[in-house]
Amino acid sequence: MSVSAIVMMLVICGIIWGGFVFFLMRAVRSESRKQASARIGE
Amino acid sequence: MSATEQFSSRWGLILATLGMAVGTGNIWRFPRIVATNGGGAFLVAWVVFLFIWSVPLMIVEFSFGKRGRKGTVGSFIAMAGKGSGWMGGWVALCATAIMFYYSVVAGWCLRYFAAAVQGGLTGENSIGFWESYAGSGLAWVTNAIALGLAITVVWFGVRGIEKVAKVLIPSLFVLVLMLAIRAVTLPGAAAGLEFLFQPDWSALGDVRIWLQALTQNAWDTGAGWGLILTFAVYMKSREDIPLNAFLIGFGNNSVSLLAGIMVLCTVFAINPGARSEIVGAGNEGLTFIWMPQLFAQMPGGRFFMIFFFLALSFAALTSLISMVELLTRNLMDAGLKRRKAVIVVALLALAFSTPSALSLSFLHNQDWVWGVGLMLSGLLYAVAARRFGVERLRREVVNSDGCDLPIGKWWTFIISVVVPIEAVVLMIWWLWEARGWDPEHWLDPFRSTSVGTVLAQWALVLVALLVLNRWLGRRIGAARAA
Repeated sequence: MSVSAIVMMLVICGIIWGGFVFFLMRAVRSESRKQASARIGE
Repeated sequence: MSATEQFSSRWGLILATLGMAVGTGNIWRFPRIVATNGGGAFLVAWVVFLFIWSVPLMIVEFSFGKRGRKGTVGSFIAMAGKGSGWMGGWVALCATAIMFYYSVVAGWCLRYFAAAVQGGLTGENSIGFWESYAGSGLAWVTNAIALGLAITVVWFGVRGIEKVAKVLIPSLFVLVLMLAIRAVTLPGAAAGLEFLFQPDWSALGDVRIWLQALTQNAWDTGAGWGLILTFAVYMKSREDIPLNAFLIGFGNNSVSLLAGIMVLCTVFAINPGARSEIVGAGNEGLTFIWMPQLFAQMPGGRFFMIFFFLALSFAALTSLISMVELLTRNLMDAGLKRRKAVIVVALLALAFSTPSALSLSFLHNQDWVWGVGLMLSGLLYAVAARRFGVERLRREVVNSDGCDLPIGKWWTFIISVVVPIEAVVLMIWWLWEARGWDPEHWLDPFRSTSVGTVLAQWALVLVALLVLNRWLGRRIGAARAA
């Protein structure tokens, strides 16, 4: 593969898959916080 | 709205909405469009439009559904006033018209999955198999089976939709990932990656590349279809909107990227000489004629072919379920109980899917007319959001209680200005392109992919909706939903 194709692959996959994982982890952390708050509220 | 109709958790909502978004478009259209539009450069434009079309519109849809707590007609009335029922009606009718041929496509996927399991699909018979099946009575039967499955799920309400999504969507991700890994490990697959990611920067100067990338986002992510709005009706009151929208947009595009890698690496590894023919073969040609031939030449190809058509079936069914629910929800808002509404949808779907099941030309016509219609749907969302007040929507609904990712004023600008321009430009471009496909008959309403057929069918629907607008406002706008 050419260097430019490799760079493009890393950039695009990084943005899309990295973004997906980033938002997923953020949602997981948010849900944990909300559930912890709900338990404290009880 | 019935108090029991709610997603049990954030994950149920996200998986169901991902099921809506990830469909056949991710797997059979995206690879072809990337391959024929400049590879890596196209992907740049594609990522840009994720931020300035898909995710912003998803946020609008979530907001409307969460605030309006009714299907498309009722929520458009709730958000943009009593005179706006026709807009929600357009969104509903567009998605419903698509459902009437999408069920046929789902049936194709099921048929091919069954044939792959039975060993009835060999490389040599793929053309004959397709030509004897598509448009036949058996295609109507498989269409009815696909509808039956979707109807059954929707019969059990939101919890049924959630349970199915929790099984099918993770399975779909695993299948597509396995197929992509298999594809990149084939000898010669690197050429496919090169073809997919090699940027032809000069292509970014071609406005068509940008329009194709915008079109792919519009048709692929489900933003502006009314399906996200429908699922948002069942969100918890303190559920986040923006983070969920980003998660679903990126999740959907993740599957597209995996599918692109899977298809193009397989093509380049197995039959690189035919790549132009393969990617130019159209959605059905690539999926139902070329892919069986390619799998037949792959070590262990039969098993991967089973996985491929299983993944396609999961993608199609989960999207079909959301379309069935959209119409069901609107009927429930009009006063029908869920079970009666589902029966009505089943009968309508069986009847109106028949022409598409028996005629590929009719199916392509409907795909053309209502595919462009979706762009009008996107425009109507922006118009309705402006009537409510986009900045007010951002403050009162998007960034309200439960928000995990506050959205800045950039979103207000995108919805108020950018999305309407994108929608209008896209509609005009596609109709202009259609003029060139058959210059002598471009206005003929009976041609499969003419400008005339779009204008004629849109006019019929719009006139009917405008005539019924007051009735929609009285019946659905004021009524308590079932």
